[in-house]
Amino acid sequence: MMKGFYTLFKQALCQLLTPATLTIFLIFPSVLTFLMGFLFDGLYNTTLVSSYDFYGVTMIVFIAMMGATVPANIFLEKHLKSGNTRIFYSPVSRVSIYMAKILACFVVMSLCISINMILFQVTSFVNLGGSRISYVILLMGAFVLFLILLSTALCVTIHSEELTNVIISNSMSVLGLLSGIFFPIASLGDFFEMIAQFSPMKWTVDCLFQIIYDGRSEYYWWIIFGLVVLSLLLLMIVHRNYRPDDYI
Amino acid sequence: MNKILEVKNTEKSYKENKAIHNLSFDVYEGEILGLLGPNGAGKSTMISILSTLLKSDAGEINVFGYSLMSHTNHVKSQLGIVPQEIAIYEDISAYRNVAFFASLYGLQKSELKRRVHDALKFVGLDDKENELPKTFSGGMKRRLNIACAIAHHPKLLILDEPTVGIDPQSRNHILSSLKQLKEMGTTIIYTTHYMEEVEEIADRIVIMDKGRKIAEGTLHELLERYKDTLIYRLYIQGLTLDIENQLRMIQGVENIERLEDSLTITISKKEDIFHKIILLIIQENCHITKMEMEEGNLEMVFLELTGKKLRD
Repeated sequence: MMKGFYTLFKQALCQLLTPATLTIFLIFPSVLTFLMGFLFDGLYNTTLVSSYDFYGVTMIVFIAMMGATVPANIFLEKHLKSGNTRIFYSPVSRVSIYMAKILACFVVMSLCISINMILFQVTSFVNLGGSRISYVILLMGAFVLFLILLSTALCVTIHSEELTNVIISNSMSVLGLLSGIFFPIASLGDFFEMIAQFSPMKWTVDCLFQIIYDGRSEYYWWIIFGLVVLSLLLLMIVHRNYRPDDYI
Repeated sequence: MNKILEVKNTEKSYKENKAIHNLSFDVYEGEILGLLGPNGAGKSTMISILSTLLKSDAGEINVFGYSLMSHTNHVKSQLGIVPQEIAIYEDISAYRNVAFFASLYGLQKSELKRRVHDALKFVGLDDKENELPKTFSGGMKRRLNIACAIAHHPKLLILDEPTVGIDPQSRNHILSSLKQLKEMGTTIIYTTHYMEEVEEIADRIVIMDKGRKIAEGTLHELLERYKDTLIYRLYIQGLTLDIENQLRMIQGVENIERLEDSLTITISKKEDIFHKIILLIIQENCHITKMEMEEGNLEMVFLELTGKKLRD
């Protein structure tokens, strides 16, 4: 069983490690951070928090959120679907099949994001908390896991890669706005600020800034716990809804 | 002969549409079983159930003595499936396709390499192993589809309409490959709506229509009814309804079907009446432009059992 899982995991990694995926997760964070930081440089106090510091965090969160379309592609994208069908004919368990894909997505996305964060910190391009960067990376890891499972659960429930991508990309754009990724949410008014309090994306972004600038967050472990619990619930949905007949 | 597959009273519905009705049949070791039926007969649904993509609503299926439901992975390890939809990755080479799928059956290292090369050679793609399937023709993709299913040397190979939409050369290559596999000891289930294919390769045939089995037996057994029958197809200039009716009146003419200017006339071999048919046509000042003769075939069996043609 483990050999089958390992083979599937390697195959999923190969399918993910495309120039497009690597560009999105390795190059875009730097490009977006530089662009947004440059455009809004005048709005931030450069001694404490520069625009690059702000957008260095939020753009990585944004890239992770938009990257949530990747799992849907690896499960049901047209040009992979036909080959994926044949996997079901082989003596590997259904659990191995979906776990291999989920794990491959997690490894690629979290590794690329971690590389970006380490490079940002090492080059002093963005302040990511210095010695506290490990906490930042851990929180981003939990966040990425949640996003991957959210996308996978949606995809295997509605049985359509295209519809999943539309829902995910649109909802992530809205949630991104409400999380204060592009500008402080308070500028949209009390109502939107109240709505935003329910967003795991907002919790994550706020917690990241608390870790980086306050050195601590009283909600840090609670947020990680919450993201992990949500992830497990979503995994149960995947287990229940992932069916071979999606490939017929 | 050992029975390696038993399908008993299998049922499958899609919402209110019953795709399989109480279907039962057996497959014996070393034979080629042809599953013949028109589009919508339930052949692909049955294959999807055997390949475990779908679960049946009722019934029992035993493969190599093991229940398909409770010993799924054990059964799957000895099955090879060639689905109607080509199930390969177009963006990796032919070699990597076969190697990936074969490795899921436990093959590794030198044995894996050898089996992959053998499978590609068997289907005639050994000179294309490093090329991407997206550059292949339809026939070549179907052959790669087969290579992916046979590399792990399955005991039971199931093919669902493997020759749909491909050129005659690839089709003939596939059929002769299957005969070779049979000689090597592989048991094969072959579904198709082309009776010629089943007539060419199948040891036994199950005919399906609307989810039910309507006939089963060897080709000889199924055509037993027609062993004393001859069919003439005559293309006649100046053919009229009156001439057709007169021909029907000739004793020994069992059936006449008209299609534009042609008549398909079924007659009993026992009655020596063909000259009477020709004489009548000549007397009516008609001209026969073309004539074909054939003996009983599965198309006739299907028509008699269902009242419709195997292929519309």
